[in-house]
Amino acid sequence: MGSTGAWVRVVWAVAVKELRELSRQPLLVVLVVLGPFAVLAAFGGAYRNEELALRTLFVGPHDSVLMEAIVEADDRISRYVQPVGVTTDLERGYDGLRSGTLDLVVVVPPDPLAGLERGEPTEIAVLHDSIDPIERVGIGFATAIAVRELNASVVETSLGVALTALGDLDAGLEPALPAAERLRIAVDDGDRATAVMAAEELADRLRTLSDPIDELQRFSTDPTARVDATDPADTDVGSLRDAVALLDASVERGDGPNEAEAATVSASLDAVVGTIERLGSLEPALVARPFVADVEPLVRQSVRPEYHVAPGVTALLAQHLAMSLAALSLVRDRRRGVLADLRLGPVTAADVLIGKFLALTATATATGLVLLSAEVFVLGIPQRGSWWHAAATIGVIAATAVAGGLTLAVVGRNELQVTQLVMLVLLISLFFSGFLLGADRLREPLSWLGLAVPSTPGTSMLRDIQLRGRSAGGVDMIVLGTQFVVAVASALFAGSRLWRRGGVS
Amino acid sequence: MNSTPDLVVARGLGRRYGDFHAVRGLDLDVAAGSIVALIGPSGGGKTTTLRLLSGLEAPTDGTVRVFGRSPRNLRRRDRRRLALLAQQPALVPELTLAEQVRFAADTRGVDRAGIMPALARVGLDGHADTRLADASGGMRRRTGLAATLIAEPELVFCDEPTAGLDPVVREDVWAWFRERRARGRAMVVTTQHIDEAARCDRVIVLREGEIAVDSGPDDLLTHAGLREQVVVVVEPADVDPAFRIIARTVGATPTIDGRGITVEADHAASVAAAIAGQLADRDVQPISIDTVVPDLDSAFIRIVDDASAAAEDDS
Repeated sequence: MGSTGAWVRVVWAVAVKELRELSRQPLLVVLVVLGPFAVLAAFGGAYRNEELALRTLFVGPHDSVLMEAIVEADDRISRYVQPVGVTTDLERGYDGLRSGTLDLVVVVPPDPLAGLERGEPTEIAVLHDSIDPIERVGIGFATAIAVRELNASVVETSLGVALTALGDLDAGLEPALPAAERLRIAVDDGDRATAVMAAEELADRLRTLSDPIDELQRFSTDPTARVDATDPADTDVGSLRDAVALLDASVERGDGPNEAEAATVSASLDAVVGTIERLGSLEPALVARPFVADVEPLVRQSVRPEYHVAPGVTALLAQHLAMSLAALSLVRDRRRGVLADLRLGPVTAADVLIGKFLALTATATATGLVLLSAEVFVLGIPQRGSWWHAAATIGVIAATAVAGGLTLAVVGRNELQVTQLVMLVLLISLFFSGFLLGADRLREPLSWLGLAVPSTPGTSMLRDIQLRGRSAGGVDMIVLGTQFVVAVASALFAGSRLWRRGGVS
Repeated sequence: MNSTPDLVVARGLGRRYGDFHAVRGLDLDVAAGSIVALIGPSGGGKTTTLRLLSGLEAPTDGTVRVFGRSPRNLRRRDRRRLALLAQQPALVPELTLAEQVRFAADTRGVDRAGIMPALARVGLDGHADTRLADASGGMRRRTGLAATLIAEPELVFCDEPTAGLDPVVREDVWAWFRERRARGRAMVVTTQHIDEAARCDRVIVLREGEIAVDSGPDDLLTHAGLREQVVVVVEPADVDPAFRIIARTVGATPTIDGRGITVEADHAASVAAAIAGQLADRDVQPISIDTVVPDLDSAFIRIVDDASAAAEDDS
């Protein structure tokens, strides 16, 4: 047998030994494959895939305009806050927060319009008892959106009232218009008697419109209902009152309105009619919420929480399994004296490391693929991209982690130390790989810690392949490839140093 | 004259751990076709010596050469000629006995055809498929032996190879060692059994890391200062005259101990006969006259005790 054949035989012997060791620990295999799968399945089943709706108690006077608006807006804000009641008892709110039966307490001030009358926004106090930073951000978002919706509801309600009044005004003006026409003809003809009668009739007709006019004027002067779109109506309604006063004065004089007065009255009527026509077509809901968002993700398919988590689980499992097996295998062989035995024989550090590398990479890759298959075929998690790309990605993650684990085994002197080191890597992976939080939300240079673990580019690549249906590539592949080269070089260097210095026993 | 170069040459070999000398000033040569025994009490430095000789540890003092090179820098082809059987054999519990020996064969590049004969040699051919995790301590040790010796290395360091083995298997193992010696293979064996040491070509008694005795097995009694003894038992009334007669006969002062009147002699049988004749001439009737040949265990204990006393005197 040539030297190459002898080398292959040694490497193969080490690899087969590793595979036999693993295959004869069925509990280990069950734990590493079924364990993470069961956890993922439980997470998928347990997660409430619904909008964040915070259980909210409103505290304030029942007859407050804001309370009315809250009741009105219930349908719209219930996506963000789930009103559980209205009370004047603030203590009840505190009790609910402390006991966990409430998420939010919204305290409405006793006189919510006071601030507005001073030209300032009114502050609504929002109390919560959350200590979860992520949940706090969620509460902030939900509260801001709910308050914005509340504001829009106030505007919509007020505008609706105004437009109803405008409709009443329009109906009331209908019979007044012939009187106005008669007045104009009489004034033009110099028929004072007819003009007086027409002016009297027109004034009476316009007086019957006092209720809608009052409503419109209240709307135009009420700070809670002030919107720019109603300003013309405010002016027109005022001129209509002026026209009535002018007509009454001409009747009282006994000669009826002169030409200028008739023209003023006519102009007021025309303006009101024009305004009614213009504003009558407004939709209060549209004015209050003129824009809606049409969110169009590039990935059109649904992305459930477990879909998003699954690629990270696969990457983390492949990494953790490979690293643990490699590190423990080397330390265990050292403790048992197997390394010392091999070192005295015609075996080099590279022979041992390569043998272990091949066997453990194959094992971790196969385990990762089994988990991926279970995710896809049992849990229904999408696999939109190429299986080959997914397998290759898992393989490189596993290979890099095996090399990293072998390096850790040189650093750690015993199984306990190695286990702790591997756990440390797992923790770094959990926090910095983008598994829990998006990696781009972390500050540099600490975020670079994520570049030290293969699950960081691995998770991103598997998400691209599984959820976006893209092929593996880009920066992530360069990072993973670099990690692989560095890890293999480190393992060979550390292993050879251990071998040379006799630290194998 | 033996022209074959020694496989192992150690001079002034020592290993310190801080102020503690595990091994000190050890000179050792191991020739091909020889078995060297390292014996001594626990903690005497036997295992450390093996680790130094095999290159698992670097010496802090002195030098050691194996096949003419430092054992820590042996070439691959030289390492094929060397093996170590540690006190706890390097075994993988998940493997079967046959797989363990096969692993050794594969990593040492020897024919797998030797696996079953090697197991048979240690009486394990009927347990080839037993997992090491399920094997007894004796079976594990024998598997370690088979895995170590399957490659027929020229030089083997064995750390207590027969510990925990029953007498029958011990005999088989020593028979195997003798066969290897006959084929020109060399071994350095540590043991706590003086009778095993007596089977070796050379016995080195280590105490507190230093060589107390380095001799052939036959010279151990001499090194221990032990001689054959004649023990004479007489009636209490005859003790004084018998004492005087014996002293005059052997020209030395006997001792009286629990056994009787004892005197050391180089040829105990003839001295016993002379004493019997002299006692008869003077009408002293002995109850018994026995000769006692000291055993190797006594020699070992004497050597170790003497070395301890010397060390205390030095200090």
